[in-house]
Amino acid sequence: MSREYQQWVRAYQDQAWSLARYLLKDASEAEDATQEAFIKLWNHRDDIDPERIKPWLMKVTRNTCLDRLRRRKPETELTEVQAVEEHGPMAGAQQGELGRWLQRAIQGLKEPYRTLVVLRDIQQHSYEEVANATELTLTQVKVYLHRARKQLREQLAEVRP
Amino acid sequence: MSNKESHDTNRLDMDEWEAQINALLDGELDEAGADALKAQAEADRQLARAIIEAYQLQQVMAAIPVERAPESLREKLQRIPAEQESLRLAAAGGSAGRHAARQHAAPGRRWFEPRWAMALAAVPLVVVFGMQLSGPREPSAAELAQARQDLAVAFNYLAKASRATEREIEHTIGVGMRDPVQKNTVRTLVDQLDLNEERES
Repeated sequence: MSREYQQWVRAYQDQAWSLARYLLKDASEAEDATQEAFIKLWNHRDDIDPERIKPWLMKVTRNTCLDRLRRRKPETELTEVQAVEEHGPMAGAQQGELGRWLQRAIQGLKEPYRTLVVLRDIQQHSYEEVANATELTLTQVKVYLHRARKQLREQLAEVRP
Repeated sequence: MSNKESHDTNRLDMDEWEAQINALLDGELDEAGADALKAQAEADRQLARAIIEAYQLQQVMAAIPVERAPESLREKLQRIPAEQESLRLAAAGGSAGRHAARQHAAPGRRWFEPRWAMALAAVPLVVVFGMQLSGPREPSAAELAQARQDLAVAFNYLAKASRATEREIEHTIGVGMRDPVQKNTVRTLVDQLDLNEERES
């Protein structure tokens, strides 16, 4: 079982970490949250369908991050949003960093939009996996994802020449 | 059509387009639907721009690499099974240890409880005193009186502890050994007392 666990670590550690980074915007806290999620994975390994390890882990990682966000002071979140606005895509474009601007813009999205964009558009999970990870219906995932993409497009259009 | 009606119609169109654009990007729009959207986009610059922007956005997002977990985290994650197992064993060992202590260690520990310590301490006292009595020097009356008192105290403790001793011996070394151990101890003490009384008389 330990060998299987090590395989899961190798397969999903980057995705779980990346999601935690987008949600928490703090490397140290993201590291703690990811570790917490994997401890839960180890402790519940016998209860989880092996076919559903990935969505289970992403769900737990997300929920762990959301718990941490709820415990945070409100001003922390505002500061991050301001940071996204101050570093618009043109600043990024001038440095050839459209992707980085976009990452910040994604971090500025509200939940569940942020998770949906990360899981579907960046990490390329299937809609079913995203629905499982976020505990939303397939229809909800699609509708929210449309809204999230539209928001990002509008933000991009606002700052484009 | 009023401006407001025109705006609402436009908005409805855009919502419909949004759904179509997303379906197109997700590869869920059939060929007929894709052709229809393309035809609309050729006639509508706003729609065309929305499709292009959505496509570009999708490309940029897909190109964003999944950030690699730092080495420190990777090591921590690999250590989780060993650490959790240690914690589990420690937790189990703690309760099991306490349980074992109740089950096994306690009988041994009871030998060191005060009443046992005093009763056992009384035995060497009597034996040593008896040896002294059997030695070349004759004990004084005061020494004999002290010995008798010590012996009485020892017997008193032994009598009180007798029943507990039976259970303890039985538990520790078995029923078969209970009587010989007790009888030997008591016989030694009685012999010493008899010897003392003989010498006194």
